[in-house]
Amino acid sequence: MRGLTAFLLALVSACGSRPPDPPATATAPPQTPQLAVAAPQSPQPAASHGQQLFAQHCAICHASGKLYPGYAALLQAGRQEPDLSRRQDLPAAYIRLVVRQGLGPMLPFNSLQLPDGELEQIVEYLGGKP
Amino acid sequence: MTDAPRSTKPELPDGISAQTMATALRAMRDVVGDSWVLADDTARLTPYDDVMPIEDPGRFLPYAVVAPDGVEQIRRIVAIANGARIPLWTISMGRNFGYGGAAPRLKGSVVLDLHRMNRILEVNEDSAYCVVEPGVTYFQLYEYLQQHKIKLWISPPEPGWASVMGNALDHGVGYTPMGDNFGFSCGMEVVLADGDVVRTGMGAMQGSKTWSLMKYGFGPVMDGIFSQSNFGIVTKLGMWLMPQPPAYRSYMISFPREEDLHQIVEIMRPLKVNQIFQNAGMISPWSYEAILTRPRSGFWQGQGPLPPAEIRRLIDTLKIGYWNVYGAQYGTPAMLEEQWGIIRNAFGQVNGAKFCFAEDRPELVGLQLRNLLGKGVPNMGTFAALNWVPNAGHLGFSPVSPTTGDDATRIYQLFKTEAAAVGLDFTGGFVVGWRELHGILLLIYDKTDAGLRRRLRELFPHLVRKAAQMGYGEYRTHIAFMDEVADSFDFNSHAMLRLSSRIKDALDPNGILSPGKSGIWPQNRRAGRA
Repeated sequence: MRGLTAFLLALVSACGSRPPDPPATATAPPQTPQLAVAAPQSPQPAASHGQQLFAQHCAICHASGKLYPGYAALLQAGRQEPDLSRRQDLPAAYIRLVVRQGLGPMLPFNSLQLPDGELEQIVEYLGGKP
Repeated sequence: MTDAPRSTKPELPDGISAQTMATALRAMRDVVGDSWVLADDTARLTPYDDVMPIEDPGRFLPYAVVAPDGVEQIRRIVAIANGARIPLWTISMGRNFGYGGAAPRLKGSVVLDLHRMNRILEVNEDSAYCVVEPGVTYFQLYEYLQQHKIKLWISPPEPGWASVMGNALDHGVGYTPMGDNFGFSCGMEVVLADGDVVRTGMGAMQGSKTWSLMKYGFGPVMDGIFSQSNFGIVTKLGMWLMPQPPAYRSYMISFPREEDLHQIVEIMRPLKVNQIFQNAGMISPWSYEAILTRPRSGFWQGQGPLPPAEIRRLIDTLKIGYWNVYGAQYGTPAMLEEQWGIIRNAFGQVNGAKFCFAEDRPELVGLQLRNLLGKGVPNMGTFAALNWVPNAGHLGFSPVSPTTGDDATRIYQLFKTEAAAVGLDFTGGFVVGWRELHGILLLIYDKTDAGLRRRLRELFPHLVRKAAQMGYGEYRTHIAFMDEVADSFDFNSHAMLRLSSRIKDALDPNGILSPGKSGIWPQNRRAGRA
């Protein structure tokens, strides 16, 4: 009951003002996830537009880590470098084809949600070979 | 058996001439601009087809796509469609691939793609709600809350790229305690087929200050008829959000035997009804962690469903249970401790039950995904399941039952038997809602295998009928089976479908909005059912 009272007091005190920071706990506190997704609304100044677009559209599956299914698939397939952002050997035509048609578990992106111009900037960021 | 090459030209919907369509599309280009209309190009339209096809590829291919950027553009498009009787199929993001994705139920429809309307119109931290347009995704809303240091949580479904509005309107679920996403929506704006714009609930009052605070307004509650329906185009939606709790942790409880399911569910029900089990809990078989870990061939290379000895070997390899319950706790540290004691005592009645927290088992992908979803962090991790078989697609069959051991056991036997009959493993599980149990049979198949797709097409209606005979209805389905599921809701000779048809005829007499959605056909296409 003491815990519930403290919780309710914390809620009441939050009304109309900025909520208090969560108290230190012995349990796992809520944490910001380690998602390698750059925010599309406020990109890092140093990032190229292609890098921002990659972060927005691709990194949600292709960032490094086993919770990213694109990375996991390439790792399981035995690719030496499953992180696409570190690849420099992909042909531009291949990138375009996979994005538009999908490949295996990867699903296609349509040209309204990812216009051709933006796709080309992603191709450039990935160093797509002509 | 592989597929025949698809046609190179999109097909028109029945009853619409090429000239009529061309004239209408020209008019729509004038509204949205050339670059926001796609037509006459099958390659570009392919992503709007059913990308996990059960039917033959191309069965649900649209004729064109138009992407407006606001309510006024939608009203003008609707006027054009009414004049030419052009069927429009509305999508928010169109990424729910297991249910047909962006593809229209009626082949040749024009997809009305609302992804450009992606504005977060309001976030109120004190009263814990937001108002969004159709194109706002869970990733986008999450990033917005993070950037602005707003201590509110969202409740995303497994793939975080989904539309917040689309998921709610399609009765999708998230995995925080506020995971009934339509249930926690509050107030909507809708463009009707005749172009009229309506706001529901308190929003019906000009200048209302409580549109997103109070669901009911004055008079009938209309919101429900715009979910899983084709009665209007929803353009704004209020969603209640969850205040960040002082403490959070997620857990997994493993049970060693297949036959433990009955006891697990019997223990779960009182915990859920009394909100000791706080979020939408999952009861998953061994296969959940397996499909997220590595391809099936990495466990066994034989044909057909994994034999019992191989399942046991897999369970030992991954150090999981035959059944694994995933849940999460929210509150103060003291509340969490007290609840955890109750949960441990309850599930500890099952012989061999093992308990762990997410941080204890970082190697378990499924547990880590549940941990993120439980605290409202969108991610795409569940797509790793598409590595289970080559060229994977998935089809979900989701009957809803009471939360009892008897019901869960009956459904499990149905799932297991029928999946094995088409040579597939049982993947899926059970999601525990406020009172009900969602059974989920997730059929993961090679989408290039036309023979298997044919067997699945035959299996699905059989499953719908069989579940209905047992008293279980589906809550959501793929576009290919909307008629079958609608038919299974047959009280008083399909009185509900008759009511839906009457509403459809009154609101959309020309039948332009999403014909066939949820089995609701307009009068001009009802006889043929396309």
